[in-house]
Amino acid sequence: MQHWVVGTDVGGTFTDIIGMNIETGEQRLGKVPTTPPTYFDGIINGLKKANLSGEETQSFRHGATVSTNAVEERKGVKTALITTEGFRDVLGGGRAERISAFELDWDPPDIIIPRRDVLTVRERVGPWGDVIIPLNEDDVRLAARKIRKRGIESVAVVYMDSFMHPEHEMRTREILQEELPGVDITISYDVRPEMLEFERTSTTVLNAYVAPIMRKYMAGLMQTAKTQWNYSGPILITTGTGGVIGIDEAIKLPAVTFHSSPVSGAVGFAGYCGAMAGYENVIAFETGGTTNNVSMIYKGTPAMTREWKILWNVPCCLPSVDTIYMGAGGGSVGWVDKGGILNVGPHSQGAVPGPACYGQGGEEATNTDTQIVLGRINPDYFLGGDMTVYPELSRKALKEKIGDKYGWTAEEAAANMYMVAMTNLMLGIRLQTVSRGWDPRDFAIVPYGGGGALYACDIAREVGLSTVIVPPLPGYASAFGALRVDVRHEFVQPIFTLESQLDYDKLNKAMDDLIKKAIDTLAKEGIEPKNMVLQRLADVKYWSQANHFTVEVPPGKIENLEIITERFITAMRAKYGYVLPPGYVETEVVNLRVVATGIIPKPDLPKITRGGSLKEAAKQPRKVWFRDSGFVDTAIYQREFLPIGGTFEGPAIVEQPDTTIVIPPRTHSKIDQYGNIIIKVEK
Amino acid sequence: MADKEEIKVGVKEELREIKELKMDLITFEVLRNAFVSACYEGSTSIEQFAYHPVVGMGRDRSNGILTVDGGLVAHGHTDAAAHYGSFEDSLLNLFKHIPKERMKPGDAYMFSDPYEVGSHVNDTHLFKPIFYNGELIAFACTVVHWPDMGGPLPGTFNPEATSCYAEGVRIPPITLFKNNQLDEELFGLWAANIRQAVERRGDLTSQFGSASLLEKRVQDMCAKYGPETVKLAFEEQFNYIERLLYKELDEIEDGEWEFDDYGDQDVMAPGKPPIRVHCKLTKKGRHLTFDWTGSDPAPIGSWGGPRGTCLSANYLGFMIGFPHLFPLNRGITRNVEIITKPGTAVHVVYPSATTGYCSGAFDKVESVTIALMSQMLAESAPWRVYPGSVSLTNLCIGAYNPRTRKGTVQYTFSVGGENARTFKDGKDFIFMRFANAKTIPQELEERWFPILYTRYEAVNDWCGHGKFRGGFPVVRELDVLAESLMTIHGDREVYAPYGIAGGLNGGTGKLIVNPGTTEENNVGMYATGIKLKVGDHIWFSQSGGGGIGDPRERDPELVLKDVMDGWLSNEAARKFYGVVIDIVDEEALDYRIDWKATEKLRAEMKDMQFPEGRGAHQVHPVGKNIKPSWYPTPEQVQPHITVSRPPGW
Repeated sequence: MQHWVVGTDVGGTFTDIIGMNIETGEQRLGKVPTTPPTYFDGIINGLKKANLSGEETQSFRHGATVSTNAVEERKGVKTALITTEGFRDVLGGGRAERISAFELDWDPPDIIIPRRDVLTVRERVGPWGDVIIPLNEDDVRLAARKIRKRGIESVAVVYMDSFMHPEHEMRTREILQEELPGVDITISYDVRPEMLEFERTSTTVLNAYVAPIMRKYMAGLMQTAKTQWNYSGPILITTGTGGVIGIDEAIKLPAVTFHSSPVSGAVGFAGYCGAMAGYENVIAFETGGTTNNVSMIYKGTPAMTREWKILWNVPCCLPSVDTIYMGAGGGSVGWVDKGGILNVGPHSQGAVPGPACYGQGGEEATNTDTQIVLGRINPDYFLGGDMTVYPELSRKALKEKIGDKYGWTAEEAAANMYMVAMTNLMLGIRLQTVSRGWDPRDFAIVPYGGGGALYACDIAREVGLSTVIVPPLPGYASAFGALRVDVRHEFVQPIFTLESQLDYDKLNKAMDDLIKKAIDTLAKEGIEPKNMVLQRLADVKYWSQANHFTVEVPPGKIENLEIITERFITAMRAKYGYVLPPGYVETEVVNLRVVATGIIPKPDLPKITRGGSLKEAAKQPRKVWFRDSGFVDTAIYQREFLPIGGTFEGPAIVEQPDTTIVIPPRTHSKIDQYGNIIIKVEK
Repeated sequence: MADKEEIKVGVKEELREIKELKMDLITFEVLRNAFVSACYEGSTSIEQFAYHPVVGMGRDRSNGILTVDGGLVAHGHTDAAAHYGSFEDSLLNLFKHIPKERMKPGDAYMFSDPYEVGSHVNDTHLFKPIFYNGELIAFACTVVHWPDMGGPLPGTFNPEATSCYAEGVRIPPITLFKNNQLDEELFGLWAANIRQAVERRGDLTSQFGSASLLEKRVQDMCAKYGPETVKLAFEEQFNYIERLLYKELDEIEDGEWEFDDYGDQDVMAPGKPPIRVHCKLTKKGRHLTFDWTGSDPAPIGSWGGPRGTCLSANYLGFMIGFPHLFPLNRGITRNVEIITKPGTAVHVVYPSATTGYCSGAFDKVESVTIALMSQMLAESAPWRVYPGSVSLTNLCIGAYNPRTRKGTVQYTFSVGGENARTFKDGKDFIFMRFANAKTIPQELEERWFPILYTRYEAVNDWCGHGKFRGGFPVVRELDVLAESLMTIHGDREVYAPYGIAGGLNGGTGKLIVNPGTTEENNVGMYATGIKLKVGDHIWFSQSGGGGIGDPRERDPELVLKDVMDGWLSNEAARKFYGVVIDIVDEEALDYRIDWKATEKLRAEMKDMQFPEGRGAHQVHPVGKNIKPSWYPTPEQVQPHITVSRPPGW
């Protein structure tokens, strides 16, 4: 029987596999080295290591890191942009932003398509959808000839105001398909039919840039699953909205898969585990080697953003889970500036040469070095004992690079550097919660990744929140997350009409069309009508307000904007704490949206029955530094042996192969029925 | 009224000692980042809430925290230098009207009098006193550029104004909010005198909301760390920046440097010579003096700026020399002596017109300061040697939009080419250096205003050519869809952004109505109340960044790249760079350098001199002597900013 649901995540170093039996709750794990350039060997190795069989699997979920990597490493295909004559520099010009007023030495990253490959065509649609200049098909054919001669593999087509009248883009695609067989074509209407020419262009270009890579990768994945793993069931791909989509949809619109890996970790792992432990407001806090990712889940729903920047001037403007990336990880370097202030990062030592303790020639003091010197990370149990590290090198780096400048010992330097790193992370979290009008004290923090649990308790205390939840498998967050999310699509229709000028028949028709599109798409992916959840949304703002809010449309026919406006004002007050009096100016409907969710079977975290005692989990105690107490004798536990229902007081360190959990004094910890460690932090 | 004395600001003591940190290092670090991030948060909230696109999308707003004595502590990452440079001055002016003793929690004071805020009447300053347990701890300051402040012309810019009475309504410091409530009567008085007051109500709400947010953040810090610690942290911010500054100054040799730049014309005094802005920088040990008293008297038309203008432009130019000292705070301002003479173009007094300050006096003071800093740093930090850059042009169009049935005031600012660097070409498509603005998307403007864009593209060949070239400016073309009234208030139509070390000056700005037709009207950078009819077409371009070094020394491969990308015509490649390029197949992008012909052409051009002058594509007579001691690589540029950037930056 096909009882298994399998999730994979292909990371830079490791490929993670997790299989869960939907009937019994049994879990099987595989962590194997990633195998570029074809990642399939690693996936198959992992599946084998986890002892999972294709015949017994009902659903295979895959994190498509390939698209994000292609953009970040600039390894997409040679791409051209066709746009409206007169607007050649919309892409390169961006929004003319700079990073700060003073840094004239700063440069944004190079744009993805050089200006020479931005080709223009005579055509123009007006802001209200009227054709001002008809499409000049000869220009399109000339552009096609240039594209052929230049060996370009993928084309983005973006015309001004095309979302109001997509016919020009559609006709252009037809001509290009005739002229350029085998070349991928992306039109902006399919990617992001919304206002803002630069943002739409950038998103469409990103899609075109990775489309051929995605297509080949997905074909390879299907082929490999079939031939080497005997699996021909559905393959679902994770997206940046915290959902999955069918492989055909992913090929059609690869841009929706950008940064899906951290997102599925945040939504399907941190959000889910938090909810199972009884917390629906969760800060998902992932710390790896070079970056720190933070997402917020409020009342069970992840905070979304409409604009996500892959690079400074490369926005991808599709709805996605708002994930902030802070340049603070295990490899971040501590240094003293000329004004005598201690800084950590943003420079990172990465994996090579890595922290000083790796003994690979790194001489800088990194966050990992501070954790070793402070007794938190056990040097004899680094990566479960698989890696040898040299604590004396950590001590040397901290003393020489920092301690000597202040007359500190290595331990004092480590303590201070730890505090700087921790408070930087804390500020980022504060900014993300308070700037949304949320009180961080209403949240629980779920740390994961290699380093999250090293900082989480101190951050919790600093921000004023009381609960830290450490789920059992922090090293498999993204693969696990892929198992806990549903199929999710989003459809949008621009409206741009003031309340006084709204034609409600047209508005309802537009909404009905979106619903139909949503149902069709879900049905094509094999979702039964009873498992479809359709959320009707409207983007609204006051007339002349620059930015809009997304609110839920009440059920039934839309006959007026009363409730919608009320909800919009409530949302505005929640975010800013202030609003304009209702009726002060007219409301404008910007877009209608439908979020289509297809509920699919999701394995639950199994309840664990594990007896034993704390004593059996205890290892050799050692001296560990904590913020309030300095170095104290501290109990050390092995995670796998902690008894379910067991409780203990801080200070303590819990060790497991993929992370170390630092539990400071004045805390009470409990192991719940799922194996989560729930740490209550006193003020 | 300012007196006739020369006014000195800055240095309070002749010799300052380096002060060591007197508080816990970690608390200092936390609060240092918290101050800046609170300002950033405030600015972001305005950006998202505000009404007019120039505020919401264009970011013409700023936030700051100041001490009770008027010392600037921090400002946001994306704020406008033209705003926060005058915060200190502005707060001291507020005290003259409303003494500290009279201030109460829940008050907010607002004013737009240009001589008080230090810029122009559109920049409304809102100060909110921050109390903790009854004690005044600090001030929150929020500035938003209101797109219209009344007066004869939509957008309030008026190049032909000869006094403040021909611009907008001047609001002296008033208590506009009491107990956190807007005084509707006072605001009504204001609102009755400006266009689209409904929108301004939205901008005002966001402005007050942002100041309240800063208030809350500082109060939270007081609750957590204690008010004494927070106040000490203010002073320690200053001492820290001061320590960094002294380390820099100790490595720079003493000296005196001079530079001048010109405004094209005094519109209201035809035939008079251009407006000269001059400064002498003296560095002696840790003592710096910028002396602006050699500048021309205030023009009759709207060009000059009040004293605050000169301060903020001078501070900006100074910080561009030392960007790692971010943010601008009292640690800098108390160490820079700035001398101005009331009644000069860089220190106009009541009742001189001021709306044009930003494209006039501010731009020139900034450009002169950067030229002075470049000379001072040529030896010690050759990567901080910069030529002139794109200047600001304010384009205002007032119209009734028949489509949306709303009256509108469009305010669009220019995007142009930035200065070249000694290690790289200048950036294209960027704002003038004093604003951290963003462009307003054309698709958004078209929905608001009765216009249709037909072009948003670089102006080919129009940069300052050089070994490293300046950035390219942008041309916007648009069709007019309803009867409109247009004002253009800019500069640099004649006097281009300067090139240095033999690099050429950048291109100049232009605005033409109905180009290429019998009705062609070259209105230039100064025009008031131009009536536009349906079907008129506007061509509007900006200035381009100045170049560095002789263009004939430019790597031919870089010239080839520019020609392939369509920045540079083949003719310009020959004329300025002496590089001959064969276009074998344009469609296939087969472009090749003809090395032999290039060598020959460069040999022929060896003794040729580019014309000397201050116009487009000439060699600047003073700028040519500003030379970096050596040409660094991008990797050699240092140090960098250490304050935490907002997540995602």
